[in-house]
Amino acid sequence: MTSAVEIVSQEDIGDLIKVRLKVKSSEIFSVEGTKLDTPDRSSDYHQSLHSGRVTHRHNTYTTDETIYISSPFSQDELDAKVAEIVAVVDNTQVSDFDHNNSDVQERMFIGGENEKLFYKTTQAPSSVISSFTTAFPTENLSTISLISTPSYHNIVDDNVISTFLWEDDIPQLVIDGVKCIARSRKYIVGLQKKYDRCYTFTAGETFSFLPEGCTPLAKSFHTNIDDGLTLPNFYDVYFTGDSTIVEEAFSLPSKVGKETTYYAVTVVEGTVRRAKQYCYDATTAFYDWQATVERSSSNHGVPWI
Amino acid sequence: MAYGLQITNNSNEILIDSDFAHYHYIGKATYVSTTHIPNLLDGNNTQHSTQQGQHMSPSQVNGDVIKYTIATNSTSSPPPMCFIKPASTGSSAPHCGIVLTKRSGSSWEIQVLQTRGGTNASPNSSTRPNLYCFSPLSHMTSSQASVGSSTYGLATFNSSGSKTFDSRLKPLKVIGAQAINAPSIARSASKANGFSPVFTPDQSSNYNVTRYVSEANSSDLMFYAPSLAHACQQHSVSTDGDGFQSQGYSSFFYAWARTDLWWCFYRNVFQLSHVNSSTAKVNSAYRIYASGHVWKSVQDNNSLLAAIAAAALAFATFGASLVVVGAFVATSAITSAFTSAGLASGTYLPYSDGARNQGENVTVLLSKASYYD
Repeated sequence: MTSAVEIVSQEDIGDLIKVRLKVKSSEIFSVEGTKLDTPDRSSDYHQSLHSGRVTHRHNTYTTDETIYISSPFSQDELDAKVAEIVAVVDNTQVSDFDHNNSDVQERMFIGGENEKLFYKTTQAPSSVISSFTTAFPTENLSTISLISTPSYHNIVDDNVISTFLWEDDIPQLVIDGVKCIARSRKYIVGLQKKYDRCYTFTAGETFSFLPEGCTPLAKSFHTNIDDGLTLPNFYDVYFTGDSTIVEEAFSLPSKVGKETTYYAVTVVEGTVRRAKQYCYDATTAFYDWQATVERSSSNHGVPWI
Repeated sequence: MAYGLQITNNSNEILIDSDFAHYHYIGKATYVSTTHIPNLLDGNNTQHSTQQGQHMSPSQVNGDVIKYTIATNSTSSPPPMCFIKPASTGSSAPHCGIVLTKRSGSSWEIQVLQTRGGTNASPNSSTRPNLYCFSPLSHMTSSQASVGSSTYGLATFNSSGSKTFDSRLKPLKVIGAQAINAPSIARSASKANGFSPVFTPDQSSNYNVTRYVSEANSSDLMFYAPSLAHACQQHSVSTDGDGFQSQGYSSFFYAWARTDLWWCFYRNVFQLSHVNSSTAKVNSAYRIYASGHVWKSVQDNNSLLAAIAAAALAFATFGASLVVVGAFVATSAITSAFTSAGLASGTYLPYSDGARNQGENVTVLLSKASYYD
């Protein structure tokens, strides 16, 4: 690694000279955690990482240091001091940039209570995994990217575990001929049945039950319903809006995420039966609904609003 | 002097003058408590910023702040002269010095900073020193001014009839004096060490103080050194990155930047050592009074170019006002820690790298504790 040294300032303070300098590492490039030579960003290789959806990182490390050397000083003295700092910067490792994604991807509340948490399957507490595998022992966990805690669904009248599948992680998801943003698989714990909820574009549809100023982002429909399972006729509308307005409109307690908060209402036979708050305390998988919808609409070539 | 008493030595230096407000022993200050400035540690994380170094650096060990109190006779009495009798002497002994003297009613509270050893995560305190306090007779409490049943000795009075010296009340006896300075800076070597920068002071100055009395060692010595010298040093690291995160439905581009600021606020403290029967050595150095580590991260996933720009802007803003932001973060987040410690809350980072008052002469006075025990 070759670090760049910049002498920012130099000041005589009597018997010492105060030197402020910055030492910046060269780019530390890694793919899936393995350090590699830094590629040209416009190269085919680098572009293939994007098109292939490969996790990779470009990182740098800069230290801002003030050192003191005897006055007058020799160039050798200064060089020796600088060399100490450069050695530290040169020793920067890929692991110095490691991060842990937040365990809880989403906190969802129904009617302001009944908290439901979403996890990456690989990070989910064993109790969550156990709840799922006990009720659905034949399901393959490796196909599931995200999984929730069981939560009582007052329309279905049972506990439901929500999941997202890896196979649906595609840019142009089409279900039953409908262009979709995403799909989740719902597992009804007591009945041991499942169905899919698809999230599609609102396509300019307006919803009179949304408070003024709120923007609809998606609407759901159900498909792939297990034999023997009869679902009530309901759908959800997902939207963004000012928290105080939404809370007042649906008589919800104040609940907001540290990063973002979104909302949904469940509509049964044309009537709003419940309101949900989705809180994101970090920049997790779901935390930016609007960006997700915009990206999906771009992929599908349809307007999102 | 039209009348009165003046006694000088063979160098014509005044030992007793009836017009002088001579200092007399008023007792050992009463120990109140030992505390230290809380770790000023705070920062935010984003999904992709490095999560290294979210701790104080091991070398950021704040010294003990040991509180004492001593009574005087009124709410307008001047502060007492307090001599520190360290629990140990020699090159391994902890450094100590008075860092605050403040009034509390008719009493004075004195705070002594004493070095702690070990690491930030596992610090070691040393035995606390004793404070031998002195005050003019006119500011003593009645019990301090009591001569008991003693009926002989020497007392002097000024022209107003106020007693200014009384040999029965243990006048202050100075056995050595020396003008000293604080070092120019606490640490001259590099502090860079990844996410655990090194703040251990590496600068000190030694001063030999000739004693007027012969001593076999320094165990009986105590010193008075009212230094105001202090120093601040800081170290910052900036990390940044961008990339692509493959993550289920929400695979995304991102960019982030994080800036860390570690700092230490040092106060001038002292250590006594024995040189020979007529000489003691005073080591003048800085030791850590307060320290902190604050950091800030930003991340943007919406647009790679916008994210890089946003991260760069946030970095520049934070980098340009590290002290201010660091102070803000620490103040808002850790106020309750100060309350628990019984200390005034604050940032304790008054300026960036440098020292203040280190060029001012400090007169060190030596005396012997056994004169007053």
